[in-house]
Amino acid sequence: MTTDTNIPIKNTRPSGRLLQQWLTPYYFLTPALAVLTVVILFPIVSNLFMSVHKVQLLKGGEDQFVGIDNYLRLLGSSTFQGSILASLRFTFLSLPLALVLGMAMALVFNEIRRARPVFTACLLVPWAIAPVVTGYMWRWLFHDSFGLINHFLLTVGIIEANIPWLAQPHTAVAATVVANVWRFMPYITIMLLAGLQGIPGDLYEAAHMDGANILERFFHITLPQLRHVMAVVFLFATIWMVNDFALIFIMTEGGPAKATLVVPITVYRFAFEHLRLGRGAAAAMILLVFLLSVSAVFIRVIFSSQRKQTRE
Amino acid sequence: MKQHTQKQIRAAIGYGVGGTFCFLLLLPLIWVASTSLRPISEMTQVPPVVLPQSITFNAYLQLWEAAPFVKYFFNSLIISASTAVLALGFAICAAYAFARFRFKGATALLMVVVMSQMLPGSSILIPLFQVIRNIGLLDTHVGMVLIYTGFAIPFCTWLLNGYFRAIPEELEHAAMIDGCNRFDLLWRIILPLAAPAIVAVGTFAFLMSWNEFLFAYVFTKSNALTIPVGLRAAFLGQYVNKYDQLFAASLIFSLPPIAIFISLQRFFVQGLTAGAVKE
Amino acid sequence: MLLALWITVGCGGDRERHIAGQPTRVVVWDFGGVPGHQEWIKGAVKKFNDAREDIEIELEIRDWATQRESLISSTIIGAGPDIIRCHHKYAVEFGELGGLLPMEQFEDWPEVKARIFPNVLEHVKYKGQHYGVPITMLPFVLAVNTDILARYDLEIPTTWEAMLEVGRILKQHDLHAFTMPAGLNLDTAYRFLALLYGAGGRVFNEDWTRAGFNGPAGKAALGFLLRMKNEGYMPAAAAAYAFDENAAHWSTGRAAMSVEGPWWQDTVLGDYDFDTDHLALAQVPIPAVPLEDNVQGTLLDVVMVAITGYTPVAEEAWTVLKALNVDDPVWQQPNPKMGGIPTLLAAYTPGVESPYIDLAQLAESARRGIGWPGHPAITQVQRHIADAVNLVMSGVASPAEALDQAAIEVNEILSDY
Repeated sequence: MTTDTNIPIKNTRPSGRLLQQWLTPYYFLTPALAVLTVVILFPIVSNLFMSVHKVQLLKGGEDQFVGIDNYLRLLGSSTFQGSILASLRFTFLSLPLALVLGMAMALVFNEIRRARPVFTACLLVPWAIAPVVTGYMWRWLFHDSFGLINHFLLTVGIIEANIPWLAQPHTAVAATVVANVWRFMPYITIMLLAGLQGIPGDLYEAAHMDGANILERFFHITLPQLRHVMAVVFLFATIWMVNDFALIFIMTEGGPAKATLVVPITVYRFAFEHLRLGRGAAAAMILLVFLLSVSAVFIRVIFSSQRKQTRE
Repeated sequence: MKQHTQKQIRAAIGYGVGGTFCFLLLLPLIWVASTSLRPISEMTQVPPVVLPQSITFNAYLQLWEAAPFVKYFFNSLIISASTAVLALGFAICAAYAFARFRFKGATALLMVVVMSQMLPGSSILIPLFQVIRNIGLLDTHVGMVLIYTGFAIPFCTWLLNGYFRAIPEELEHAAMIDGCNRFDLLWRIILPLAAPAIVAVGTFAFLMSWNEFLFAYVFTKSNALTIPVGLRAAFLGQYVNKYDQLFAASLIFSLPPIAIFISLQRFFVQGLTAGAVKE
Repeated sequence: MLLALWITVGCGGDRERHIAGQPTRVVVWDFGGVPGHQEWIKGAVKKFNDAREDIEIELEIRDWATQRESLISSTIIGAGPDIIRCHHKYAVEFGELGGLLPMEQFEDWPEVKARIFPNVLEHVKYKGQHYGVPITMLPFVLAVNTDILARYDLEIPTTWEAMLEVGRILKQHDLHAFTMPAGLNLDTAYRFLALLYGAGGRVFNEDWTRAGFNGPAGKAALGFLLRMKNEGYMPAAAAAYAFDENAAHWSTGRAAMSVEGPWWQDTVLGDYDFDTDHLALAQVPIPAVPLEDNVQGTLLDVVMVAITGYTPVAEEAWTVLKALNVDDPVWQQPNPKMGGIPTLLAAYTPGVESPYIDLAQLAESARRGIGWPGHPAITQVQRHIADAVNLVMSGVASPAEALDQAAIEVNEILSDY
């Protein structure tokens, strides 16, 4: 860490120099902080206020203070409860799948020595593509008459008639989960791969000499070593999946029958279709609190395992 | 001996499975590309065929005429580029402050900056809408650049902060004795040294704006509409549906991100995994 | 900082209309419109400006989706365009707020009024006054693939019962009798309403204080649709359909009928190369026995041109409005490129040529047409109706459950007004 006061600066009066030195970091910070305040910090606080008011968007009237009425109505409404369920369902179906697949692929890719950039490049593509495009792509793939997936399943004989994927609640959820896993698994693979490469090889050799087989080596060495990475992955993946709007919106718009109406879409609907901004803000607050709690849990795990690592 | 063949087998499996997996991963894209290259009559035929039977580039030619698509493209370009420049500028300054100065509230502010990137978009969507609306920046390029800059700054600052701290200070000490002020230091010494990180961070900001949907959807209506929103409007509009053009446009739209990700993959992987994996 | 400067420059100030020595400026905001319409209006404005020295039109084409927001902001500020082209429902909402000018204040209004479809005029009326001139209407009809029907010797059905029978026969040949968008989008609500009106139902009760769509007509209509789907006469995937998937399904010959409007022939021809010799229009089927006491009608959407309440140049605006939207030759004759059919009676006199297929059916539907009620919260109501239809068509709820639930939410909204 630098201590500024020891660095001589020529040609300034002593008192002016101190003031200038003291202010300099703030000059550097101001533009970024100004933008952050306007775009993020102020809105977050404002959201809290809006959530306890009945906000009049268009009639030009005063906002009414309604206390926790918005929250109560939300938590009591079956639509919102369904929305929370949809979010949980979406995230906690996608996450394990993406993790398992990602782990498997990381293990496979770990064996590849040459031309690794090519493989990494392939992995990065699903991630580079805009969620909108991913949404349209998978919507087309799951199309009941013209989609590739039905065609494949029919040809192979797994199904006998086209499945209207996006028109039935359960299959629509499945379709969005598949698209989501496709999109996130590369990130998970890359992270886990980096983690795998950080595991010292002698651990494996020692285990091999002790007679451990592949599975035992995996569960007793690989997984524990990867705990830190996995916690980070879990954290970010959960945050990104719970927050996701574009992918689901394009694929199903929250349907059918609100089966994929995840909380971000509900927030949007409340605010911009039903024009109930107060209630939308309340829904957003609930989402925020949930995410902060999840983050808090994982951050503790991450930091504790970090401390453990440095101690080892 | 046994270990060697084991290694060979494992490598073979690695390449084989890995290769197949990559192919399957990219199959949806291939399907989309194929759809964009075939005439509509072939697209809606049943059963669908993966590779096009007759290739036509019609979609790629016609999509530019789909009334406002050109406008959307330029909007995306202008907004994303401006965001990259602005976010980069502000983040460099802020990161420099965090990296080189010890001042009151430094840790707290840094935490605030870093935590900002974890906040869900939906929790700022509504109040931000009110703010932008009241300032009169709804559906304007300025408004979108402002919003996206705000989104990009936390991550950019955090990454650059880490990078700047790794640069030894002796160079700056020497320059300061020679009479450089802080800004000169930043410009002449730090920036050239941190060039790779700056490039990576700038492209991140660019891509984040390029791909963003929700805020573009809510905050733009016709003037500042970007491509993600425009895909809906231009090709699947009220009485229009042109799947081939939709996918052609999607592919064109995806080229910059794919190209950037692939050419800068080392940085991205490094940036992602830094701090998560013990070195 | 720069930002502040940007902002102040961005918010343009209001501009003078009357500048001595220069023609009076009339600002026209044209919301949305299909490409054909946009092309026409640019040409028409240019012609007008070239021909006249005293008035100059300033045309701004804006996105259809922005109309409500724009109307609200200008009404609040009290300044904005002089003429707008928008959906007829704003006659009610903004007529009340003073955002639109009643036509009755112009002397020659009765003459203009006499040239327009009487039924359509009702849609821009609020408390006895007309707040705009309807210029385009979009009546909903049944679009039929005559080739499919002819193949199996079937007549175009006029009742729900007949539809079911056609469905039964076509199913044997692996075809759907009917298709419609039933996803979570507004098109779904429109199709449902076409059937609702045919059954004698209404969106609201008499004084717009309670929902009416969950009455016997609504439940029967939705029940009919559900039966069509369950029996396989309609694609099961319809619950995921938006407009585009529905058009694809119909145009590729997989379904015989759909509820659509004047745009249909352009869509199926332009996007799918459908042979329009096999396209016919008919009235939307109704139940054999009316289910409610209201007059059975058809669904009609109307676009109007209105003069804003805060315009400083009302008379000049009226001149412009008449020139562009009543006297212009393009309205004297139906033209598919304009996105809807004209509201002028002159366009339907025998002898006027029209490229519209089955124009008479469209006119018939317009004559009995009823639009969405012009309530300020109507978009939210449409959403709830679409939700209910989607719920039922995905097999998750029964018509009664879904519609009653939607009605509860709509009643809550209505109670705010």
